[in-house]
Amino acid sequence: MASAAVPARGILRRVARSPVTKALFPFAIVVALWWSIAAARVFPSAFFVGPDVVAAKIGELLYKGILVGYLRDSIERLASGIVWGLAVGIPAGFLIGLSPLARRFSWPLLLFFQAVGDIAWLPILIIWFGFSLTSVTFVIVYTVIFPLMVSIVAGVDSIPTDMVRAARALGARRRHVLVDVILPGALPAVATGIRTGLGYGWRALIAAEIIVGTSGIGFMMFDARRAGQVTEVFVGMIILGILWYATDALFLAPFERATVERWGMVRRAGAPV
Amino acid sequence: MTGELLVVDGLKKSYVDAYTQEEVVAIDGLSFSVGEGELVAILGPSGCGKTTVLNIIAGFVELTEGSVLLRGKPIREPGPDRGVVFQSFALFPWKTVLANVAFGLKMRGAGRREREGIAREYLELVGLRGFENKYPHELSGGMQQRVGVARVLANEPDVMLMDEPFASVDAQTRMKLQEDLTRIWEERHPTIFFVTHDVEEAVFLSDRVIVLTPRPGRVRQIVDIEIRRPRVWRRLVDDDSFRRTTQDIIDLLGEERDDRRPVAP
Repeated sequence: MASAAVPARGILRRVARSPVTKALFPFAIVVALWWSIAAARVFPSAFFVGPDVVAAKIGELLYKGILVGYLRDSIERLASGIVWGLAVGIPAGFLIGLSPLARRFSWPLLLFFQAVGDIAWLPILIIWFGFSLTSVTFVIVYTVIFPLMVSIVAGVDSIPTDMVRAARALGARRRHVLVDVILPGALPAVATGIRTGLGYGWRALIAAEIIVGTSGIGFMMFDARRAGQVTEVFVGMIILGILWYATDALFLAPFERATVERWGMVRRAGAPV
Repeated sequence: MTGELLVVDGLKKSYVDAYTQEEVVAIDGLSFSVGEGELVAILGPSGCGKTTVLNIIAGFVELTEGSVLLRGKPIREPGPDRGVVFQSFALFPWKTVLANVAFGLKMRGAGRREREGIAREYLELVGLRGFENKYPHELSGGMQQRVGVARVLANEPDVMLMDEPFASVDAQTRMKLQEDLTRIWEERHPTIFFVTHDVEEAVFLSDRVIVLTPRPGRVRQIVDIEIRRPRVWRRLVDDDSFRRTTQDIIDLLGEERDDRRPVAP
């Protein structure tokens, strides 16, 4: 008996220490809390449903194929907005960061258009492009490029003068300095810009779907509200969280781990101390 | 003066202060020269313009008057004939130690095998064998500066310019780095121009010490250091000529405090 208990405890400890358990643990607490509030019927079930009801609803929506369809629509819109946003924002950011002329010209414009928030464009976009992918993409691109550009400009500015001078004194020509010092040196800022831009873009997508929507997670949530379907609103909120978590775990975090974190240029936000 | 590797003649540097809009004279008529294979330190209180002298020689900053000639040619821009070791190390954090040291050779078109072979040789010289594949942040400050030195030496410049290179490491490490620098210098005799505010460091390392006045920087005196090599701290702390020379230079610097121009209000 005693000898069998040791490996069992070893397994338990390994499970307790696994990264999956560590990541899920805080959520388990929140879900338990949520479930107990729902079970205690603190609020009427028309306003507040428990995790069991929401899980059943997710199962039902998945079974009907609605959730997958909406999810695909949302992700497609986001992806197209992000791709265009990065394609425009990254080169523009470096141009403004490196060229004094471009900076003088664009900085006042940047400030002005940043103030005309993403959603403020929707009325005119709907008039021009209707309830279309173009309108949604425009809003996402618009949201993505500003934090991206501002971050890259700050990143270019933050490259130590000594580092550029060191390269020059080792024989680097100006174009070498751009490729071998400025681009890698600004990478932490690019990573931050992409992270912030993506986060804003994701929110802009939901907002655009609520207004422009004919499908998608944002549409689903707002449509459910109209019908008084609290459960579906909850489902939408949870899906958003899961998707952002997945984006971070699948794309952003691995990219940062392989580059700027490995080089000791940044420490990941929320990384264990 | 002909035949000297680096000749600085009547060097003057002034700039307009961005806030007061007044002309500030940082260096006021500086002349000295550095011979092939010499180790010369330039010493002065902070603000005397010694780093500016280095920046002008490196080609980072333009001079106002006078001339700076390397092998008889005026300096126009930074170039691989004048490698710089920085106080801040200025290593490329995204490159491995080996790639940092091989950077200059890469810029000048050397193939991978050739430049990595040379880089390994210089890493060995500075005592960093086995650290080739580390990233700079994984190294201590002292080790990072060893990479900084190897990176310049691997490029075989005419002169290695060192800007207070050991000022940001702890005292223990600094003494080791100073000893290792003199060892490397005795082995290979690279020409070194060394900026420092530390009198003992200047005396310990150099053949000659150029002592500057406070701003605006002028040559107070050029002191020949006659202490025999190899120099190690263990022997020098009790060495009479080391202590005498150090004291003489401290006195030289002290005198300036009395005849210094009053600071503008």
